[in-house]
Amino acid sequence: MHDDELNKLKGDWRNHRESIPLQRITQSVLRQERMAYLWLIAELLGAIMLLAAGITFVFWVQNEFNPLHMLGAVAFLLALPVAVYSIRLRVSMLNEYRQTPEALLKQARRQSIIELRVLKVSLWGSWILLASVLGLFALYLTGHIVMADALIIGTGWSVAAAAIVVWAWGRRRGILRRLANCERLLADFSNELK
Amino acid sequence: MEPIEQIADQYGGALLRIAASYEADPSLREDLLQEMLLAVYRALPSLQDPQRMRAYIFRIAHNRGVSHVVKQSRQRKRELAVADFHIDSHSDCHLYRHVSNRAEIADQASSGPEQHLDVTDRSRRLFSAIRQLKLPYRQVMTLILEDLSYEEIADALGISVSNVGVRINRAKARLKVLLNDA
Repeated sequence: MHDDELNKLKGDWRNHRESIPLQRITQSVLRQERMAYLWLIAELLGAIMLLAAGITFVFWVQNEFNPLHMLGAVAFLLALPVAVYSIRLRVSMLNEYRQTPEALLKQARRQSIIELRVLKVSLWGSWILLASVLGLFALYLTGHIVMADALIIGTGWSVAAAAIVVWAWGRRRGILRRLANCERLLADFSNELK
Repeated sequence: MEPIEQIADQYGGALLRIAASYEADPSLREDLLQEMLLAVYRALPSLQDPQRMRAYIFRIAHNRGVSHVVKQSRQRKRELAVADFHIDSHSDCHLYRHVSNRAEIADQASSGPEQHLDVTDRSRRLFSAIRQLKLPYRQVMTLILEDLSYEEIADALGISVSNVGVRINRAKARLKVLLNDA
């Protein structure tokens, strides 16, 4: 391809004409920016609350053993790493400009693999919740808690477990697709060197 | 004027072209452009050397483009054929601005409709061919078409200047084949 051909292509390239609502887009960008910071603050507050709730339950369990409080402590402290990971992801998105496209793809691949692991842990969490429901009824049968408590908490945990399973299966497909896209694009980069 | 509006005014056309090199669907392209502008807006305070502004903005735009491709639901086997140049039919069209080279629009206005159609058709074929290039070639090709120097391209993509040269030669050869096939 000669210089004159390239110049002609540059002309064609710049001739791309399209009507876009630039003013609406810039307004939306400003709105999204405000929302992103609000979300980050909300997530930080959420993580702090999880930690505080977990510590409170641990404190109660230490003072007086109560199986419900112990389950609460485990649930809140297990949810904490997920919340911290979510914050880390949000912050790393803000630093995306530092990366090269290839590094960005590698990071996206790593992120997808981590998310798959988180999903696996979440699915295990749902099994733990279901097992806890059985434990709850065992506690009722042995007279440690009353029927109403067992029903209310058991229903709540069962619904949470079902929600986790549905969410995890939905997410899994998207993550696997992202992973496949990363592999394909990274292969383009590595083949380019040959 | 807000900084984001200045960026949109100055680089909106270029960013839209980069977005078009990643996304054939106009509505998704608009979303991608929005993501690019948002990423640029967020990253601007970290720019230390204003001389590198162009390379910096194009790096961010391409990174957003790459993330967009990663999130795509499936690899598109066929390009969207008719969607590239849509007619301005929105009700709030008074808000719309053509983001394109104004001098070339003026040139087109003075030329006949057949020539104008030929120009837009060539442009459409070029974008379609560029979208078919593999990512490493697509990126250098779009940047050379945006008139960036080899040094600026190297800076934008985080590769060496010699690597830029190699990629550009391969990209040109591949693009020529694609355009001849089209």
